[in-house]
Amino acid sequence: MNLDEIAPEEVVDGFMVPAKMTLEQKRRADGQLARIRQERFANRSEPEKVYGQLLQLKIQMEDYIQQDTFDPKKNFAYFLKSYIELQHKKKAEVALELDIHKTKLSQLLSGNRAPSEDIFIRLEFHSNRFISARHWFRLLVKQQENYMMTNTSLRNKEKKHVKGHVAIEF
Amino acid sequence: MYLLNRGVDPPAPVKAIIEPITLSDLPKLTKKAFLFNWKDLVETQLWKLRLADSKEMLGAMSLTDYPHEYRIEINLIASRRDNVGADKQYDRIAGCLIGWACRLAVKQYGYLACVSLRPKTRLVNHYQAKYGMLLAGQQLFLEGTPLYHLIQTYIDYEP
Repeated sequence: MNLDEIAPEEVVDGFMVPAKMTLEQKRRADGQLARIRQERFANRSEPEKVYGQLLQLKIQMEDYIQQDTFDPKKNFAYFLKSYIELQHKKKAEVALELDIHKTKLSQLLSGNRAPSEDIFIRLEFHSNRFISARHWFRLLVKQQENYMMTNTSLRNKEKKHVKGHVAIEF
Repeated sequence: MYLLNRGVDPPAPVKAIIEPITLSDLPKLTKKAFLFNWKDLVETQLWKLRLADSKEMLGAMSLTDYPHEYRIEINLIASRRDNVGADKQYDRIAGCLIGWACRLAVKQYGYLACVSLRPKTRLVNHYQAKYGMLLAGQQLFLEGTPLYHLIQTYIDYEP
């Protein structure tokens, strides 16, 4: 099959066909790209930068929620801290915007207080609905799931309450 | 993420998945099926696109990461031989794979993220028109708003 015989509009819908370049041509092309990017970067607006950081955080949350393993560092507090930091705002300012006491925000950030659904929903609206309440909620679910499955003393305590069980064989 | 199935009337969206190419996929990544010699690219990051309800590869992509430049380069994207040209069944294969490269770049580099490619000269205008790519001499690239837009259009948007 010769892609040159296919309409370019169709080719670009299914392919990225590379040009043949020598190493020297590639080196020059990379230098040119770097210069152009540098010029553009100087003109990048602050909201565009914040959007990029917010999108990065959202993708990191999505991938972490999707992955099977639990990372104790990546809890609700970790992502909330990143969310606040990327806005270059003081905690007191964010607490005011979320209409919660600054002590409560500090407790959420230190992990000493579990977030509730009102916090998830307020965070969704605070991000202009960019990061949904579901994302924040699922971070907490992941924490709770790990706690439930790994807390031996809790599991042993609850096991004593079970007075019968399903008979299974295989 | 979805492809557009043109094999039904009217054309309908169908859920797609992109995931890393595994060792067991490599024997299927042949020149006969995917039109290019992929053996030279086994050291690069290889990704495949498939329908959510099928294990068959529909598209493949090779990437190289340049961390010092906050840039990911697309070396090659190809659709499977039986899905090429005006009579093909699925639209949006390259768009989804390019969008995926953009997503990977943002995940790693945030607002500094850049995706670049060096397409054949005759296709440059068409990549620019279809994907909003920017021209930098002999290369095309995406960063900032056009890059975010591609993620929204091809990865996040659910019809």
